[in-house]
Amino acid sequence: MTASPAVATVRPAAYRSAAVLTLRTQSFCRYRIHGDVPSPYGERFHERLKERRFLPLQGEEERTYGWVTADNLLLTDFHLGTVMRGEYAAFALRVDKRRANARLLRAQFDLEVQARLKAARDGGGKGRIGRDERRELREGLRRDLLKQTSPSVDAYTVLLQPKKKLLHVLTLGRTANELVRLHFNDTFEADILPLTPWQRSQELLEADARDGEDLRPALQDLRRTDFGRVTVASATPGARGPVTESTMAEAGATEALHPEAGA
Amino acid sequence: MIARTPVVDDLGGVEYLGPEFLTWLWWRAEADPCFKHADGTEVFVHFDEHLEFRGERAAARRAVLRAGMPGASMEARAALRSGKSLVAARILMARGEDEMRFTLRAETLSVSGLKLPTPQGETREDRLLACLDAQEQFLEDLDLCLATFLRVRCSTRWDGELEAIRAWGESPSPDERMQPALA
Repeated sequence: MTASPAVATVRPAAYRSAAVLTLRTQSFCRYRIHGDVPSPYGERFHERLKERRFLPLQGEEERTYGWVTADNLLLTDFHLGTVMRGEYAAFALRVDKRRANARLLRAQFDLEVQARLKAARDGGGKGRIGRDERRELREGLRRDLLKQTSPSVDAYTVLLQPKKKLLHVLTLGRTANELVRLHFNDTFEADILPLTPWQRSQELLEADARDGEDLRPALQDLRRTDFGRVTVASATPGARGPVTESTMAEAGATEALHPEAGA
Repeated sequence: MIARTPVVDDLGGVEYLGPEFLTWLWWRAEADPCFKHADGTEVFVHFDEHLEFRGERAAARRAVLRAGMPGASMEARAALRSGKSLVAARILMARGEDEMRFTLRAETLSVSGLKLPTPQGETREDRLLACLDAQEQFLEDLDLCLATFLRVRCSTRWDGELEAIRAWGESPSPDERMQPALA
């Protein structure tokens, strides 16, 4: 993923007028890209996005997701102008979901069952509905309801920094992050791993090691730190055994918090 | 015989590293809030309106303090004394005249509610690129804090620094110091 400075400076007029992506306030998780992703300055990158673009819900589908442009979740027209923002490639994962309302489904089902029972009794029948017929009836009603239900629409912006092999997902939602991870892997055949304190620490210490001081072995041998004192010399009246400050505070140590209370 | 391989998750099996970093950063922001980049650029850190603690001992309880400078409260010090570490905090980071507020969740290093400085620029595109630059700068500053922590945490200096943090935790908080004056 090497950047092409000549291409990077291209900013079509259409992009200038459509830049609605705003970043004044943001929440994000960071990922490191493992694997080769095509350069976002090249056609291959945009083709991959197109191949995994968002497609609207079809028939009885309850969920669909795919890439859209970062500026407009109705657009799946990926090219240099709609994707590149300075050194970043910006796009978004759109997720549409719909579900038949359970209460409506039950109410319609009850009405339909009553109507069928009445019709059967009026016709001189037994007035019973078999299990299979109930299942078919419920499924038919669910399908009808689904068609009438508008989907909920979400879009999660993704910022890709090709030079650093970094991906920012602008949401903290666990499900959304998992979906981005999955779809990114499906699109580019590359993994993204969360940039956790552990991962980032390794990288920072690796950079330090290049400058001379290698603290990476110490990172591997870390032990958890207890910021409070583990034991207190004096025992609290009524307590058994060694008393920790933790137990004092967690038991509601009002004296520690409010010295005047014990006076 | 099948050799057992330790399971390493995304947190590297050291899920406490992030909370230790944030707890240290809280202390450091009180003791010496200035961090310096290699080029001499100074970054100042201040803990703002939200502190969330988690117990690391037997009872992994959480305590959340909000609004009214919780860092100065006696409850925050009590949490530290009882062995809790910070898992989330609202932080103000300043570089020159630029100020950025954000909430850092220590276990994952995820950032929420990051408010970037008002971007300068005549066009929307210019302002967007200014935001991206500001975000880049913010991440550099956050890395500077983490790298500073690691250089202490992974060295023999940690014992001395830990002792200083414990002594700070045991000392009266600003609120506690204010109480006699109020009385």
